[in-house]
Amino acid sequence: MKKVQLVNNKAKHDYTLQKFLKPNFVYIPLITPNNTNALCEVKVNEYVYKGQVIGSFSESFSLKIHSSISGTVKEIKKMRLYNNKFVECIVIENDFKENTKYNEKNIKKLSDYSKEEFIENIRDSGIIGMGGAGFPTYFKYKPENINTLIVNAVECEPFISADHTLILNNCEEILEVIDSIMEINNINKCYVAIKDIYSDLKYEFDKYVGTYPNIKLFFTKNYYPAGWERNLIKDIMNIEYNNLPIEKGIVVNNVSTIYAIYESLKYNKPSIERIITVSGSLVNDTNILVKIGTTIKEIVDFIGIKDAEKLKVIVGGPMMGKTVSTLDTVITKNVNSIILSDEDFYNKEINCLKCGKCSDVCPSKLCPVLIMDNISNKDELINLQPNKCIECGLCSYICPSKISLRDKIIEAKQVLRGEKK
Amino acid sequence: MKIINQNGPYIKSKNNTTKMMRNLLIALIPIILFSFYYNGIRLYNLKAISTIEMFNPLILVLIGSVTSFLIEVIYAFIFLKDKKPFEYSFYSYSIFPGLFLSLVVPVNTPIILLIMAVCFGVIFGKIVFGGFGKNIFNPALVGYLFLFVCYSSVLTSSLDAVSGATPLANLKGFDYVGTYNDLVLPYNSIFDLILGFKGGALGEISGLLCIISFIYLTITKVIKFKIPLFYCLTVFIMTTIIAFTNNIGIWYSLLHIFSGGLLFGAVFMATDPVTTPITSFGQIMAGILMGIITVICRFLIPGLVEGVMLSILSVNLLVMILDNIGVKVKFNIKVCIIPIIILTLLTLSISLYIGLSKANSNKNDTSSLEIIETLNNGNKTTYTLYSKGYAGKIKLKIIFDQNDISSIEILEHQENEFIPKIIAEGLIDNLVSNNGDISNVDSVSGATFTSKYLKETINELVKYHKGA
Repeated sequence: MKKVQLVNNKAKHDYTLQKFLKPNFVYIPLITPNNTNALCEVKVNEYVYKGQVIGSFSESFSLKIHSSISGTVKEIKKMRLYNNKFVECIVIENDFKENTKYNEKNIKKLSDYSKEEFIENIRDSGIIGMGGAGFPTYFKYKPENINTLIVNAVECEPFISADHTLILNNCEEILEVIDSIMEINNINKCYVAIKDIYSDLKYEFDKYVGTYPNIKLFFTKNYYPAGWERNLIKDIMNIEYNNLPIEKGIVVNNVSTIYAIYESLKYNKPSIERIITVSGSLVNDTNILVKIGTTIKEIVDFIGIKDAEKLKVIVGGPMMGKTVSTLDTVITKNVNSIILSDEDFYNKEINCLKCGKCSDVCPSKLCPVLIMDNISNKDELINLQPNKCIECGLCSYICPSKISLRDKIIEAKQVLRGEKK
Repeated sequence: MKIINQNGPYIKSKNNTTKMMRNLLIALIPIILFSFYYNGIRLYNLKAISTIEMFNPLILVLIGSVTSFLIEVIYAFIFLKDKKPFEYSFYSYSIFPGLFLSLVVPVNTPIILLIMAVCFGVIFGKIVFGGFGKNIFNPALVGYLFLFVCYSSVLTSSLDAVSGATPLANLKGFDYVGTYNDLVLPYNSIFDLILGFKGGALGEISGLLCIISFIYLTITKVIKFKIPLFYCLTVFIMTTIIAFTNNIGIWYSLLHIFSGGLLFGAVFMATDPVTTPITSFGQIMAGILMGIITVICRFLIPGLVEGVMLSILSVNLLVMILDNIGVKVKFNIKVCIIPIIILTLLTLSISLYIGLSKANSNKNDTSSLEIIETLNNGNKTTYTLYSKGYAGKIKLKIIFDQNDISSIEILEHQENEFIPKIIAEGLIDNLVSNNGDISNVDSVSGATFTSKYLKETINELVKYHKGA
C-alpha cells in the first residue's frame, strides 16, 4: 500500500476555541448511529434540565440520551441527520438558564472507580465514539483481557482540527483520565497517536506526559488514512486483526471520546457537548464548542457566512464526509466537522486508463478499477471483495481520470447484497 | 443560496491523465532530438544525405502523430457524431500510437507505409475495442505487427543502407554467440552502444536516454515502473547465464539490453497503462514473461531479429490472468510462491537450454567451410560451396587454376543490394587478383558483413585447397 499525502493537509488552522452554547432549539435524535431506535422518556411541554435523561434504549443496549440544554420539550419531529436519514428528534426550546441536573451521588476520585462502576458510568453518560463511527464506548471496555489502549488523535482528514484544539486546551485532563482508565481496566500500555507534523501537540504533551511513564506518544506519518484503526494498530504495534481490535486486547478511542469520559467520571456530566471544526471557502475556519442537537443553521448564523450563489454543506471531512440537502441538519455526537463551500469540485470524468493508482493506494488492498469493470459480473465480484471497502475515498481522490470509484464500489456492495442488479 | 448535493470526496489529487500524458511526451523529446541528430544532422554533416533527408526523422514522427490524431477525429465525427471531434481525439490521447510507431520503425520507412501501419494500428488496435482505455493490445504494436507481417523486408533490410547493421542484426549474423571483437568492436565499444551511437529505429538508438526517461517517468509516477525493471532484469539474468555457459564476459548481457528496441520497448511500450496489469504482482509477472519471450524470440526463432514487440503483444493477451493472480496475491501474499517458482524455473531452464545448445553447436563448428562439390579437371579445380552471408547463405563457385584463383562466381544469395554493391566496388576482382590473400583487401563499407564473410570464406578455401 502506498501512503498518500492529501493536498491541503497542512492547512493553517486557528486553534482558538469559540463557544456557541446558546442555541434557541436543540433536536435530540432518538437513535444511535447504528440505527437502534430509542424510547422517548419525556412528554411534550415537560420541562427538562440540562443533562436530564430524556431517552433510553432496551435492556441489552442501555445507552442513555440526555438533554443538552434546559427548557421545554416542544414536540417530537423528524429531522435530517448527517447521513441524510430522516429521524425522530425531541425538540427542546432553550430557556437559557442552564439548569443542570447531573447524577451527583456517584462522583468519586477518578482512580477510585471499579471496572463495573466505570462501565456503568460511561454507559449512562451516553458516550459513543466521537471520531465518526459512533460505536458505544462502554462496549469496548466490557472484555476483561484488555492490554493496550490507543488514543487516536491523528485526524488524518484535511480541514479538521477539532481534536487538535481539544488537546491544546485540555491536555492535562486527557492524560489524567487516560491514566485512570488504564488503572481501572488493568491496561499496562497506552499510546497516544498524533501526526508527526504537529510540533505544537508534541510540545503540549511533553509538558505533562513525564508524570505518566506508561503513556507513550506515537507519531504517525502524515498520510491518509493514518487514523484508520487498522492502520494505526499496524503502524504502532505491527499487529493485524480480523474484525475488531479487541481480538488482540486492544481498545482504540478517539481523543474526544477520552475527554467525554473525563467529564463523565469527574463531574458525571453526560456527553452533551463537543468541538466541531467549521471550515470551507465561505467561512473563516474555526473550532467551536457546540451542544449536541444544534442545527447547522444556528451555527452558521452564529459565525456568519459569506454570500454565494451556491452552497455546499459537507458534514464530515472532505474525504469521507457527505453533503446534506438542508441547513436544518442536526449535529450528533459523532460529527466532527462541517465544511461550507461554494467551490465546485466537478471534474470531467474520462475513460479509465488503467494506471492502477487506485489499487496501489487502497488501504483495504482492493482493486477498485477491477471492481468497476466487473460490476455486472457477480461471480467475479465476490473474489474482488468489495465489502472490505471502508469508503475512505482515496481511490476517487487519486484517480487521474477523475472517476468516482468509491460510488462504484458502494454500488458493487449493493449488488453483492442483492439490493441492486 | 442554493444548496447543492454532490458525492465526495470533495478534494481531488492535482494529478490528471492529461498531465501524465504531457510528462510522457516530455520524456520522449530528448529521444526524438537525439535521433534527429544521429540519423539526420550527423549524416548530413558527413554529406551522406541531402538537406531534405536530414529532416526525415522529424517528418516521420510528425506524420505518425498527426495521422493517428486525425483518424480518431474522423472516427468521432462520422461514427460517434461527436460535436467536438478534436476534443474527443485529444482526450483519448490519440497522438501516442502513431508517435510510438514512428519511433520503432526504421528511419527510411516509406511514409506511405507508416501511414498505413498507423491506420491499421489505431483502427484495429484501438477503435474496434471501443477507443481509449478499452483496447486489449497496444495499438502501436498492432501497427508494427502489420508492417512485420506484410512488409517484413522494410523492417529488416532497409535498415543497413543508411546507418549500418544494427548490433542485433550483427549478433544474429554470428548466430548469437561471438567474441567481443566480433560483436562489439564494429561499434567501437560497449559504451558507444549504451550511449546510442549505433544503427536502429528512431526511438531505439539511445539506451541511455531511455533510462533517463525511465527515471523521469518513474519519479513523476506516469508509468508502471515494475514492468520495465523486471523485464530488463530477466533479460539480463538469462543472457548472463547464456554468456557464462559460453565463456563470454558480462558485456554480452549489456549488449543484449542496449541493442535493439528492448529498452525503448520496455520503458514506453510495455508500460502502456491500458494494456498492462493493474496489480503490482501482475506487473512483475508481466515483466518477467516479456523477458522470457524476448529471449526465446531472439535465440530460438529463426528469421526473427527482434523479439521485443512480439513479447509485449503476447503478454497483453495474458493481462486478465495476470491480474487475477495479482488480486489473490494482494489479499494473501503466500499465493505468489507458485507463480514465482514457475517463472524462475522457466527463466533458468530456457536460458540454460539456449546456452548449452549454443555451446555445443560452436564446438562442432570448427571449420566454416561448407563445400558441396569438388570437381577436378586437370589443373583446374572447381569448388561449389556455401559462404555465410548477412541475411542467409551465399552460394559460390570458385575455380582454381593450380594454386591460383581464376574466377569467383556468386550463384545464389539473399543479400539484396549488398552483392551488387560488392561487385561494383570490385571486391571480387580484388580477391581474385590477390589470390585470396585478404590482408590487402578492404571490406566494402555499407556491406560490411557480406564482404567480411566472403573474404573469410575464400581465405579458408585457399588454405584448404593448398592443403589438399
